[in-house]
Amino acid sequence: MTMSESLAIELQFSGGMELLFDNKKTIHTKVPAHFRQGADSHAVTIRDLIGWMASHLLKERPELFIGPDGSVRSGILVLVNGADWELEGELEYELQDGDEIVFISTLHGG
Amino acid sequence: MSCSVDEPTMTTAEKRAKDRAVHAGFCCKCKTEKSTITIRYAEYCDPCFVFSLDSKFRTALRNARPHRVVNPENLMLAFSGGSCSRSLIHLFNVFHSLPPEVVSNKMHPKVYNEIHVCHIDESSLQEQDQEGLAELSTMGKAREIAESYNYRFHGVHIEDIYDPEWSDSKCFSAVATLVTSLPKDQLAISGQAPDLLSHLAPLPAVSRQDRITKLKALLAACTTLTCKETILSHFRSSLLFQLTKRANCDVLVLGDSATKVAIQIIGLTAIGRGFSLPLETTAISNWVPNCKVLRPLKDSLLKELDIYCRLQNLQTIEGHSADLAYTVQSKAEVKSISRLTEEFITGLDKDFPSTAATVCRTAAKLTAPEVLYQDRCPLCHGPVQKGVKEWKNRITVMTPPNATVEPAKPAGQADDGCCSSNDNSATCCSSGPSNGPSACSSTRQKVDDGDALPFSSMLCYGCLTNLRDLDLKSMGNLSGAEERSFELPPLVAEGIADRLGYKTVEEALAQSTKADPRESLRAQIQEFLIDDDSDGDEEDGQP
Repeated sequence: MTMSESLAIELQFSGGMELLFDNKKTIHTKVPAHFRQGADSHAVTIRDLIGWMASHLLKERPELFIGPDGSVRSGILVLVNGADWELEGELEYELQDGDEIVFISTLHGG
Repeated sequence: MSCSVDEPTMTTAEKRAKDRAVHAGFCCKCKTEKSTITIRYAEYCDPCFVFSLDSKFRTALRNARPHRVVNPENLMLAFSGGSCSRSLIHLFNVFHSLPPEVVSNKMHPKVYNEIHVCHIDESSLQEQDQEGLAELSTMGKAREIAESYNYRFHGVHIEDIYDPEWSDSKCFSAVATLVTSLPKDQLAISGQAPDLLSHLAPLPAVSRQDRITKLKALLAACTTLTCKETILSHFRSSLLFQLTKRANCDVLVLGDSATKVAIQIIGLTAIGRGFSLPLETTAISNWVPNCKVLRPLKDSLLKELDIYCRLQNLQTIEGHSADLAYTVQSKAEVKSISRLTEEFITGLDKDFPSTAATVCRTAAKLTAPEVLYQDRCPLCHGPVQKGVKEWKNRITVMTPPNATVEPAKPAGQADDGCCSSNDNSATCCSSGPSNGPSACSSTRQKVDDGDALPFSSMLCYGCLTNLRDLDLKSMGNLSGAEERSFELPPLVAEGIADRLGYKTVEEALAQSTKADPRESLRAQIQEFLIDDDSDGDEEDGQP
């Protein structure tokens, strides 16, 4: 597996989250399969994805999406392939090619 | 010690934990499917989750209705467009979709008679020009959703609160304006919160645009986002009650989730609405006569309802609640108490998933206050405790203890016969064109008794506290010269008139506008008066 390889991911937004992402409900994107951390690299996890989304896709008000700990803000539900991300290892879940990640905001926004 | 002794000493929680460990990764109900949803440590598969939410909803409904339904009630479902109320409509539909053999069975009458859906369109408050408004309107989408279930739809715009049609009597065509009891130059140094008094003014028929302008003017006079949100929520619930009554419904059903109720409990307590808290958070509330309020989703978390909407493919309306953040002036105002509470509760809920449920259970022990509905607050239509204003004045420190400014002297005791002796006195004394320059304080004393109707003395503690965030500069004062930049809607004006015992809008207006008693006297004896001109004419006409 080469470092330049990328994974095709489908991102879905609802409950007001789409407003932060250019008003798009679904984004098909490719994320790098590996992220470099210092000297070594590791397979992309949701933690990496969230940071990557914040820098590449997010259009406005990052404080409404990403929390101080690098996770999503509390009140945002994340589903990985239809299952609660808490069951999939939360931030440490390693993304697979073709994964569908859903972000639902349960907050009123602001 | 025998081996069996250990078994009974296990607590229920430990047993459950052990149970869960055995079935880790599998649904806690069917124990055969892989779990996909986790709600408060319990894992469910999709079908079991839908089933459990439905059962929870049915339990809540059963607890709210009598054992034997004799007269089926009409329901009004309040639909905002969000996931909670969207789930509510769908759950009711599932609940009422009985198999034909049950429907035809006369022994099992329908539990509910008719189901109506109502929606309040708040798009006019968004930051948009006139053309953009039509696109933002949520009314069409709400109607579409309601009609897809064959439910009668009732829609109203939030600015219709300024329509006399939406007052309790359907024709209270008057608005209330507020005045402070102190002139502007004394507000800052008076050492006490000024009294708010009200005037009623007739409201001619206004266009929709005028109503939006009026509502925006009121919101602009609120200096904090909390104040704006609170006032809007009062208007929203007033409209919901009106919609319910007009559709001949007996029950208003709200989609408040456990998370929302927990946020309300903390948020409302923080803004001083603790007294009416039980009415605004219990599963059943009987405060408004002939209009029960039901919250059947009070035991379900927001997360559950969001997942339910997703699983059932239920379309919600995006941007259904007005975002007022654009109306605030400074960065510091962007947060409101309800926003902060929301963050607080959801933040806690992330690490401790029982937070919302615990807060709700604790507050469920509160009992509703024993106050008559007649003595309601004109603004929020909630219960009022006696003597809140005196109590508030007693416990509030408005000036620092070592303040150099003198507290304002009561009217009529000023040194020079005017309201104050400082340089600004000209502003005050130049108030009314008919008032002489030295008559200011005495005039004020006089009008204090007759002209204005009381307002702040009728408010509940929550509203009294909330209205402290109104910009006092936007109100007139009793001397009457200043521009009043906002008006309170007919429903509030009606509340004031109601508390004062005026039966009709004419009576209330006559009472409020009797600034010059000679005018009302003149009006009464108008037909007996002989006009100067006509006198002349008559004389001229006589040979």
